[in-house]
Amino acid sequence: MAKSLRCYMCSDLHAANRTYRKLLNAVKNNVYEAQVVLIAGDLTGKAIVPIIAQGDGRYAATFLDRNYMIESGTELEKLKESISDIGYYPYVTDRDGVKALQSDPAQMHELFRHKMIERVGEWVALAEERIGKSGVQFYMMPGNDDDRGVDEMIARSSYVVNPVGKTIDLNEFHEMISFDFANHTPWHTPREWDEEEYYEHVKASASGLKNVHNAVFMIHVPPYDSGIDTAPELDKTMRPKVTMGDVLRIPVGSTGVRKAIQELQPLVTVHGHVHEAGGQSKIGRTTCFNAGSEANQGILRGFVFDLGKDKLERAFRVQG
Amino acid sequence: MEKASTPSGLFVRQASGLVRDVSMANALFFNISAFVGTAIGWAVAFYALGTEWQGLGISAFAWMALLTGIFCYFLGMIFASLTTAMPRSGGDYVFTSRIISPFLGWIESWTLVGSALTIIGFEIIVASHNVQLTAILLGVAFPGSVFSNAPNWLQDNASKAIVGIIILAVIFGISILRTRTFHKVVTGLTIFAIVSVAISFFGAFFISPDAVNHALQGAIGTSSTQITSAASKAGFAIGTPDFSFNPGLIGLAGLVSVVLFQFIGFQFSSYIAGEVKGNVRRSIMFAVIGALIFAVFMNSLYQDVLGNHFGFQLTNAWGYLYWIQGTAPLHNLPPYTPLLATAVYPGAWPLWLIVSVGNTVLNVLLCPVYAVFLSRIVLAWSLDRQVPEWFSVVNERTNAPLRVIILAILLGAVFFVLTFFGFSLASTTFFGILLAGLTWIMPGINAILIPYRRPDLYQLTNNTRRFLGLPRLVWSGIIWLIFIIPVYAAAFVYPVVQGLHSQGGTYLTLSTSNSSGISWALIFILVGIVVYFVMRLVNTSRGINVKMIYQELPPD
Repeated sequence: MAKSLRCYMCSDLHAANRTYRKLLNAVKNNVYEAQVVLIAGDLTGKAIVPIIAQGDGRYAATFLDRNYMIESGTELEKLKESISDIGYYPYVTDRDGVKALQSDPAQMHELFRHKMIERVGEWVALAEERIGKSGVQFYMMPGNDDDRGVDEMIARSSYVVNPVGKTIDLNEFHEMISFDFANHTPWHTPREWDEEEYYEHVKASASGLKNVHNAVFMIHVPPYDSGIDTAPELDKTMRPKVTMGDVLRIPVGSTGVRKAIQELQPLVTVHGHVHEAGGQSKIGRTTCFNAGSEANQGILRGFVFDLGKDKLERAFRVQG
Repeated sequence: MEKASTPSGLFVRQASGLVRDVSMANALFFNISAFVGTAIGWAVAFYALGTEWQGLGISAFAWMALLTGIFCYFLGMIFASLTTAMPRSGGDYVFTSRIISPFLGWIESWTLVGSALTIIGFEIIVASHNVQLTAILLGVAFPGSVFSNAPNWLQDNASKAIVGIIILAVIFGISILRTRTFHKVVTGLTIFAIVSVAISFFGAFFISPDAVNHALQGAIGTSSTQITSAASKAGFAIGTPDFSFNPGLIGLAGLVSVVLFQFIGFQFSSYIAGEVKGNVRRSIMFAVIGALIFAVFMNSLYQDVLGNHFGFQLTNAWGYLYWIQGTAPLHNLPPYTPLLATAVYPGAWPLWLIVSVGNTVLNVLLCPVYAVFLSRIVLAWSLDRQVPEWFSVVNERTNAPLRVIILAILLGAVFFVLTFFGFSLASTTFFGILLAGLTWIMPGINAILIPYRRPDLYQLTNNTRRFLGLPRLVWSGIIWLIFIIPVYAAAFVYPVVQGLHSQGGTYLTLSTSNSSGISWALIFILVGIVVYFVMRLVNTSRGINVKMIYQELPPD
């Protein structure tokens, strides 16, 4: 009888250094006994914290609603670490630099791009250093929020694999195909497809699989109305709609992805994208996972699942 | 790093993803609607469970509410800090299982669930009383109407069961609403109840003890003098407004325990912390402290204003006959201020009807709120594989663990039904309070231990400053334990020891009428231990290493 394949999946780490280091330590110490690690997209952060040189050797910064005046190099490094730990990017500059960024969107965009690529590069290097010889398959997929430049950083790695566009043999029984895009979001992020386009992409990739019913699909966006895609409904100003103090919630997953899963019926699909809707659900015979995300709070959420020869043997949610 | 005065901003790019959906206001109303003892209409009945003393014109009950409020502030700080570090639903279970041990977390939350189920049963009985009292109020306003006979309603098990089933149907109906609608209903009804509190509070200034004396005989057929005289004969001694209050530690602890019973619920939003949006610490602090202020107000200023205006001696004596003797007027119903006010001013009945309905609404609302709060504990168990996954299935329509919600209401109803078979309310209540012991004590221990046992989580509490060499969170834990341990020991452990000493084996009899409830509590705990180890075996046999589920992952 074939031994099952232990997989661990998480998602939406959003540049949170502390959570990512937890993931690497979990692999290094074999905490989840996983042979395969899947990161289902969204590697990059959403905010830059400017640390402003005051001209007298001190630096000012506002971080998590607190204003800081940094006195020394050690303090500066500590603050940068704290900012990076929750998934923001520290940026040391001066008052003129801040003004220039505020007045020039292109410069701001380029700074974000640089920071995102730099952080993913650091993550790839750290993975190589800490778990490169562990024998664990480590798949790091970008998501809709991630600049295209991060793909290149992952591609340079001798250990970390970006599975997008490839058919991966996880073992002799299970293949995996991966999709980093989302359906359209209100934020117009870098990787978005129309629903029908998404469906066609998944269907085309799946046509090359030896046995689709035994395959794993890693798709950043969860299927529509699956219970693992429920998010606050937003108004035109991108604020959650609230009625009598209660936030309205709607399914935001992809109808194209749902249609593909319903038709193709892979063994397992793993998703991210909707942080607050972590959980698992079934679409026909397919088990769908969304680990959810609290990465910016320092919590690593994930699912452990064991793939038997032709079935999902067990699955459970973990957090560390 | 020192604090600076020059803010330097934050640059944000457009990216997807929002988390959590329960607002700060939702959390506050959730807490308020979870209050066990916030009886708008019969707040004055609780005097008699403490002591009838007044000092500086303020009752002993109100003094103790203020004192308890101060200590509960530290408990609120603990909950806010722990939920900041562990912002997920499940409350005490999550905290203790992560900080100390999964087994202790399980037993603590298992006993809390047992306690909460008894409270649901208790509230169904109270709701029956409130429905009847509202009908009696209408009978006083409209003499000769169908409501005039309301004092004689619900005197047999069949009619009690019918009313109980109707109340259960209402509770069930609210509980199975979609989460969004549920929060709307809870928020809306709680606002209505708060409006009725305001009407009751300001309306009380138009009432005087003399006016109540004059109106009582005609309205309910008995006078203030008859009530206080009956209470005196039964052993009730009204206190005098001086400074001779000397109840001793046991008496003091007993009084505080009653106040604490009234306060239960102010911290319950931390059990749904996984759903609270935005800054979790700030939201939970706002909800917990806001609800605590409401609890202190209801059990001090509100209660005393009503007590003084409706007659301190009358309400005490009536409360004594209700709680202790079971011989209160109107076939043993509690002193009900909307009813007394209607007797004084029959023309003002619409206002006092609003108060009476608000009182009933807040009372009934507790049950669905408890069902939801219990469901989140069970959900946390299920995610940790402490109970079968069957419990964690989130219903697509309601977006909530519907199976557990329904189960909680049904089990609460069991306690209600047991009263028809001689299971006493005192037994149920004592049983519930005994079970809640760990829930009161463990937050203090968790606060003391978290900096040392889980420094990684402690760093996430956003409360890491020190005072006199110790973390402030540790001080909060110490202060809370200094308060709660003597209270719990004197009010609950001492009576048990006394009971065992004086009655021996009889005290442990498994009779439904045994008011100690201790054997029931022990059996419930034993069942919890068995469930824990059976689930461990089941998980092991399925190849699931439970330790993996909440394994600490050092970042470095």
